[in-house]
Amino acid sequence: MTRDDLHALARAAQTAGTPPPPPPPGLDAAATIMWRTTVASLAALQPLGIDGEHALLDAYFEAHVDLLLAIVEERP
Amino acid sequence: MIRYSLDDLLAAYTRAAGRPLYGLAAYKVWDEHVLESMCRCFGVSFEGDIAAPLRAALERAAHVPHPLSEFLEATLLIRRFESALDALGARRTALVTLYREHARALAIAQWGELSERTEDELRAAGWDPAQEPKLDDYIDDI
Repeated sequence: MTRDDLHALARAAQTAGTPPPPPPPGLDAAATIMWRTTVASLAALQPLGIDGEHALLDAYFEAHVDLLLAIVEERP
Repeated sequence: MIRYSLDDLLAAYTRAAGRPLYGLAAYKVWDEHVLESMCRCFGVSFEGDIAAPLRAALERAAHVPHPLSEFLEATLLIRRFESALDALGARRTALVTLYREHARALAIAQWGELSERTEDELRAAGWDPAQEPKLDDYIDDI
């Protein structure tokens, strides 16, 4: 699973009406919890629409993708 | 003598809008008491359409999501994913700071520059520190 794959999953997690992406196979219990909470956090991340927000929101979104990548890369 | 500023007033709103300490209802009541006292002391209100953008900015600051925000104890996860969580936390802080600064600018535009208030003035407005919950009284509820 590449960073691009995770990026697409993260975008999907923010789409209203779309079920949250399930954890990939092979994760242990703690990593599964981390995956689910990260996806939930992404889904709750919505813009307010003020000046200067866009770049900071993007950076925060990418930090979530980095966390998903760290979770996936820990798989045995 | 402790003095209270606009930043303390906005922080009081953010605390009252957010999740109370350990999710305890007693702290929600306390947070609302502090906010109401502060509003009386400064002579301002967060109510009405005119304050809607200000409320939105402060509520956003209070509710920027975080993967571990619902956890009372997450040491295992924090240690395991420390590097990624540290980076995420720093970016969250930047976002919260933006919302707070935006709210501060809106508040000044709406109310003007508010002078500081003293603790005595806050008490005269109804603030009663004796009402603050003692965490030891709620250990069984956490």
